[in-house]
Amino acid sequence: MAVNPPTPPAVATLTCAGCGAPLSIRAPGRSVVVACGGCGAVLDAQSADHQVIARYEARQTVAPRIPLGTRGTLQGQTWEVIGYLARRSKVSGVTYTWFEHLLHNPTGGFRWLVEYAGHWTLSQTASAVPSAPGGLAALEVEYRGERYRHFQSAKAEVSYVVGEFPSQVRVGEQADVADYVDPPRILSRETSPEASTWSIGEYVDGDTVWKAFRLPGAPPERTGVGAAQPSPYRGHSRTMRLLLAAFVGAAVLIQLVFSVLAQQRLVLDAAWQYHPGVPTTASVESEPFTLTGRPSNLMVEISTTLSQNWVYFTLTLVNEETGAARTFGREVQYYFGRDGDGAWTEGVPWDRAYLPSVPAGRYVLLVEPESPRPVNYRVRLTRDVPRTLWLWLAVGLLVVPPLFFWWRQWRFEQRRWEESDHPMAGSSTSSGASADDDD
Amino acid sequence: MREVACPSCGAPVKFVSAQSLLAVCGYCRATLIRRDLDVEQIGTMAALLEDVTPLQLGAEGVWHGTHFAIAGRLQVKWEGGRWNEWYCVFDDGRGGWLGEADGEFSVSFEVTTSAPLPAWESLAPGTGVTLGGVAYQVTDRREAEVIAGEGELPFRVDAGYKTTTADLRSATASFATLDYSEAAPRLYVGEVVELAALRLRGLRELDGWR
Repeated sequence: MAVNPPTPPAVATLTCAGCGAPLSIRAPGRSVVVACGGCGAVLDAQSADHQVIARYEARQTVAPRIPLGTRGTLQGQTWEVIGYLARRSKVSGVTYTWFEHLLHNPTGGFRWLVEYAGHWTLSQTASAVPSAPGGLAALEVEYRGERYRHFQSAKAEVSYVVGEFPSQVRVGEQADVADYVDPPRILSRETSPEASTWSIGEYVDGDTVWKAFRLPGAPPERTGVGAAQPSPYRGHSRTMRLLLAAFVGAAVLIQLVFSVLAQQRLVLDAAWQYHPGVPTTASVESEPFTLTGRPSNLMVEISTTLSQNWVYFTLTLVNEETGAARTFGREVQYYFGRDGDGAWTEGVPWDRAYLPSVPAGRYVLLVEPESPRPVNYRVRLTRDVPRTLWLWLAVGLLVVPPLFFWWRQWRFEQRRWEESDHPMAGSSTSSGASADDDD
Repeated sequence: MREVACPSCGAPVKFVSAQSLLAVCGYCRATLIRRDLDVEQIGTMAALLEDVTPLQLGAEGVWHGTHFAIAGRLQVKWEGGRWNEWYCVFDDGRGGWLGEADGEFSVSFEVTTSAPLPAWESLAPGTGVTLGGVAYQVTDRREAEVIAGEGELPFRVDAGYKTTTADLRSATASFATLDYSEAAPRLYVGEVVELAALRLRGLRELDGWR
């Protein structure tokens, strides 16, 4: 085996040709430029003399969130922060600034740790080229079997740079950036006149970053929902659907059991006639009948021979053993005819009502009709009739938590897309581009 | 494997692979061409520039189940920086290239194709090219120059050798290089890899890392 070159020092140090400040090159051979954060000089990192190849006005120095030279472990690999740049874009008159830390590992290569409004993503050059099944103008691209939705396109400009980079980086340099998301992943295309590169990133929690690099204090507070921030609701949506299905299923089952167990026994079926002015027909009494079992309902059905008329029934259920009486009124009316709009009807010649919680016992029913004209009618009483009302009530209550959950999930996605090029319907845009849908 | 004495300094120089045409003496950097019976010195290779690569000659790995060893290296420079092409000898007799550019790695082999290859002028970043039924996109286009080399190499090369290449990637991380350095374009096909997936041994120890 040939003699191997000597192991290089981990850090090569040099003096800034612009201001004399000490600079480091932590990825010799790979870094192309090294930028002095103090004076704004950009030096050639590859040649031995480290000439100044560009210079910019360092209007203000920006302290990297993670100091250059800091090492930390993210996704199982050690990374060293070797470069840092601030980039900004203007959308509808509002300037957005984000910060990119360049991470390096000799074996792992480079990663970008990007922070915007407290949201972090760790990204790298895409190993494959995404495809756009719907054409280049499509709002969806496919990368390694996953579909990504277009989030935002903007022109990004470098506003501050310090440290070393594997390609030429200059303040004022512009690139077109297009982001596509499939949380927690984000796919970005960066196009400059020289190159077009895709990178794939994944959302990282601020706390994870802080722990990884053992940084003091707390990570910057998050504002809004990050483009690639995973939804806390997403994984639970299925559970929610299953739970809802299970509970509604249980409610239906309970209903079925009660239906099967219900007596549904016809206890009275009587027919009478009413004639106005004939006192014997103004108040009639049924044969006694017996109700058994637990206190349950009694269905009262009245059918009549009404036509263009009304009748009012005062009904009294009397317990012969205790003398307890329950009086209730039912009105039946039925009219029909024909006018300019065609045939019409009003009401029906029959009626149905339920008396709840009637105890077992021996009963009679008193019926007192009242009507301007004679009418034939029939009263049927059925003991213990299953009712779907309770089922509907239960279902109505059961859907409340899922509806609330889904509303919150929708709100989260709405906030995510608020800052995108495609805000969801009903969201208020912060850019002021459209103000027609504010709440 | 064949071992010869360097005609310049007398140090032993190995030709591990029968396909290696050239070797750089590890001691005096003499560039040696293999002949039938002996070797001929055709020049002296420039010294390598220091870089942070974890790879080195003699490192071994496994790619798709086939063991390989790194036998040689070319250090190449273009306007956007430097990169390494590591010549690897595989146990199945093939010689392949482990490309190391911008901290990204790829493994590729030369393939001969009867289909016509696109003209260099027709390629730009983002251009779609179909090679062997696979749809690729050009990721970059480089006019570069070999600045140094070491170990064994399958062709005759000197510092200053000009190369003109375009790298391409597909939707499934397939990787291709179109090489226009000579009159007839050459095609290399392989894939983008994570170094960890190659299960490398004998990597270089770097100060402060691992």
